[in-house]
Amino acid sequence: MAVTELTPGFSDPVHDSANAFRAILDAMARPGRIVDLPALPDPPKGFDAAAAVLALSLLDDDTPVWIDPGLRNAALDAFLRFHAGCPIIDRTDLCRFAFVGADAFAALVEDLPIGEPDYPDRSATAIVLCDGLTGGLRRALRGPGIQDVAHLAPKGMTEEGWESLTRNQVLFPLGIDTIFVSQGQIAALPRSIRISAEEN
Amino acid sequence: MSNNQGDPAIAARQRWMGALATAPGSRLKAMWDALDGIPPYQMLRAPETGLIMTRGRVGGAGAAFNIGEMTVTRCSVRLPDGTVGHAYLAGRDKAQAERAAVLDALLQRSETAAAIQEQIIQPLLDERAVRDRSRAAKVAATKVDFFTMVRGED
Repeated sequence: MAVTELTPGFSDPVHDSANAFRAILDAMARPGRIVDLPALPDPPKGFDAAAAVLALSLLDDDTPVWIDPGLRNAALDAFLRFHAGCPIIDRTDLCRFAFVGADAFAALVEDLPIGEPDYPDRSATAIVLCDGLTGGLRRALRGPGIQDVAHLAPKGMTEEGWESLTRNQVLFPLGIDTIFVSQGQIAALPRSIRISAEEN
Repeated sequence: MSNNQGDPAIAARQRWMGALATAPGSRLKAMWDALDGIPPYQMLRAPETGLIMTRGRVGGAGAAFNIGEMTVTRCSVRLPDGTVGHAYLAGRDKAQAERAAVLDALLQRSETAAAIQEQIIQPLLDERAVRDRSRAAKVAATKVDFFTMVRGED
């Protein structure tokens, strides 16, 4: 009956989740900008603190979640079920949120729902767990929310990962949105952003 | 309440959670203060008050309908050894929800269960039975037997 590995969620759920939501909105409105999330003192074992904050702020009982088998464990399942109440599913094509390691991201992108022409919002948001938000493969970003050009270089993102995101951009207004997370920070990459390799 | 009745562990837990949820707040506080050896515990879900929709069926068998909303306070805690205790109780007494959750956790551990059963749960259940009986007696005094007088019809 005991759930041994269950860890606490927000200490002040109302204000913490509102602050986190505000930070996520800021990140989405300014693609590529690195935003600090309110801290979670004790995230589930092996899970990123920022990803846990995203889960607590964004998930509820009608957002099916898919989790990369490489990240999944009993502590995380218990944490999400208890605090968010979200269904954890095995089918990537039905999920609304997907938590995935940067290394497994490229293989996942094409399997996620991209929405329907009448309802582009019925798509998934991929939450990519990286080793850092700087110092990886660097890409230039242009589009709404960016004055001229922004740059993003999440550590762990592969060539194939960036290529699949470039293909995702072509689908606009359909497609997935992506949030990179690492060590309490996030950077967002909405589907509207054009990605290119050149630096200028 | 009718689900899972075959499982004695669940029935036992329903019994003590019910006793803790229906205990008068001041009484549970006095018993809690008298208890020693409460381990430090961590809040998994701090006490919070919300509404639940209660549902019912006419005669226990009709279609389900919503009776109305009621105020409920819930709390979840974790003991250092990982045991998790939950409490849901009617009303807004957050302190009682916290105490009930800790006691629920302690009652799941074999080393503390017996003492708490004896010092808290059984007395609470006995007191509740007394309360129920005195209330039933008061209600019984107001009972009205309706009958129809025979009218002189011819």
